[in-house]
Amino acid sequence: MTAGAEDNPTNLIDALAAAPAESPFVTAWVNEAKFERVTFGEFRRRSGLQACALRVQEIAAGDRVVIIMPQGISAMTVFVGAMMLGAVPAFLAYPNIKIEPAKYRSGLAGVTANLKSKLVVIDENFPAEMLGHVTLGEEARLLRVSDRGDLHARIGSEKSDENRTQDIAIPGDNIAFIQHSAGTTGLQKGVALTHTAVLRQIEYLRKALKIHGQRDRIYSWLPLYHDMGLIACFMLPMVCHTELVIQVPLDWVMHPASMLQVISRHKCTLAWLPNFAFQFVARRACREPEQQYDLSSIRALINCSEPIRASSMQEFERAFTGIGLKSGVLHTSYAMAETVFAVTQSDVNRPSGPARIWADGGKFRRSHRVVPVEEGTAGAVCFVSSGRLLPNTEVRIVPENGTGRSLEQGQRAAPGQVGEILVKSDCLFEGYYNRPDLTAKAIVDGWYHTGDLGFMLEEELYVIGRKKDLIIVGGENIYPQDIEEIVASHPAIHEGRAVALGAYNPDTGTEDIIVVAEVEEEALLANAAAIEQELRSRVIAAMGIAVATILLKPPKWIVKSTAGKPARSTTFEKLLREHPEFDTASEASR
Amino acid sequence: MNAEKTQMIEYIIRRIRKPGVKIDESTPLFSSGLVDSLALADVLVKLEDLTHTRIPPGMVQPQDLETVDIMFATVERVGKPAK
Repeated sequence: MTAGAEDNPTNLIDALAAAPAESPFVTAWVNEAKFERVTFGEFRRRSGLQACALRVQEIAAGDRVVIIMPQGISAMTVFVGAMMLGAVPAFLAYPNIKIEPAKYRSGLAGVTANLKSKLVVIDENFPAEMLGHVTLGEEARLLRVSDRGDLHARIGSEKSDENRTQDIAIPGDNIAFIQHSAGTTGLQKGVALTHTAVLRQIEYLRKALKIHGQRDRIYSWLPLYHDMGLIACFMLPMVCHTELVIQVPLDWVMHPASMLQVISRHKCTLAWLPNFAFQFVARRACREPEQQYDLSSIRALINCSEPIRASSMQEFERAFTGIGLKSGVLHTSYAMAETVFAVTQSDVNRPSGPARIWADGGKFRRSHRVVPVEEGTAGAVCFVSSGRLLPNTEVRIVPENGTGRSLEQGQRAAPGQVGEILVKSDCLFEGYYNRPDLTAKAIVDGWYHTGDLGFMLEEELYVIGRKKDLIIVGGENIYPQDIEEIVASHPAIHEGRAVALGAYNPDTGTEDIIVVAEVEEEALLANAAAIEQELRSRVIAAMGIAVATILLKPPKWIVKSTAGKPARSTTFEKLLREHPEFDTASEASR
Repeated sequence: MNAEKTQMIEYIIRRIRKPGVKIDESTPLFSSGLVDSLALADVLVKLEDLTHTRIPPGMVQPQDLETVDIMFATVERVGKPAK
């Protein structure tokens, strides 16, 4: 540890070194009878041993170390062990049922080739058929480790070596690690982050969330290869000396109620969740006797990493208010790997939770501008704020020119006017790792072009959706999620299985809205005409816009993303193959 | 085949919304892609209800539910009586 590290650490390892040795750090929770807890002191010791083992493998400062291990304390100590040497670790996703094998294989080959790592650490249970897709350069080695993930035990490095890592100086402007941009597989673009940028971001979050090292306890089932899992639920507690209780993502998916169990038992105060999880847990975790759980310890449950839907948060509130969930503790954040993590955070002191605004739906779609109306007004749309900007963070909303293209970035939208969100911050990444081509497209004059649409109002940022998904019909801006939510709420349509797309119509010179929706069961297709008419009526009634074509499809027709959600672009490609009549139109519009 | 296994097969067919699909006690469910990850929780809850057991978190992996026969054997192995 360098001098003065306790007060002002220059790198992440200094921050870990300053933690009280006896304070609990990570509890890896499996169930009530099976869990492992390590203190900060023990975590440091294990990380030191992993570092020694990595050094035996000739890993030195600047070398990339890829870690493909099941989520847990061992994977975390390999990660920190690599950082102790000044090396650059990167977690990659471990294959599981949620990830389609073909996509995983292709992504794995691409990412490992791009990282040019010196060592790839993979556990012994990694599927043999996937190994051939790990790309190793000339100097790279593959290291298989046991279930426990103890590199030192595998390699036979000496324990007496463990303190030698403390002599290694790690300047703050060195790359700390590489995290991969949003995507459930984690097999995406690599974002290299310096120690300084990560520490700065964590300091901003610590202040915004008023994190107290000893009083707070973080719960997480989030994968460590995703920024929300890696930054908010690993680096942040490590730097703030906060206890963390983790679960394996698949265990959570199989037992959503276990999240309530862990929070209740360990009195967790903070957690981050993607939007879908609010709905997923609320719908599947209510069968247990209510008195078994107590969510009163939660002071911030933060909706992050997906467009925020007010309905998902309301459903969660309704489901769990009876078991102690306090009013105003559901919060929001806008975050991305490219800014380390958060750009905004809602005010945790605001008793009513994040700001919400109701806007005239028709005016919003026509002018792409928010005109506030009273809550409950017919045709109103509700937007939930993602909060205010973190310190030293700027956002510029660049309006569009009416055809979906952004104007020059020098032009700024008025408050309430929608445009592409550009971000500049002292946490901004310097580029995609080994991908100057992608970097040049993403960062222009210091501004990161997020590809997201949103608006600022009263210093709050509202994020609406992805720019590439926007449908423009006769100058009206239609967000596919709004239509999809209405269509999927019909009893004949399977939950979450509706996709709205825009296809250029050369006769009208604008886009037509096409909706593809899966029926609950194939027999319902015999009644397709009546269902289609009901869907049209519902969309018209709620949004005042007409859907040109509704295509009802049998179960499993819509192409899913690796996250299990409908994938708009690949579904559109499939649609064109089955319905070539839309093909010419799409060519003209894209 | 016992009544619980028949009910489970009927439930899975309803859950995956494929009325015509043929599923028996040994049909692979997850490795074949018939049942996706988000349906895991629902299948597990149905299994607990049919067998009047509770399966603690972390005690099963998707492969322990790979077929109807395997999932009922899993209950024998790790299931606890429901309170």
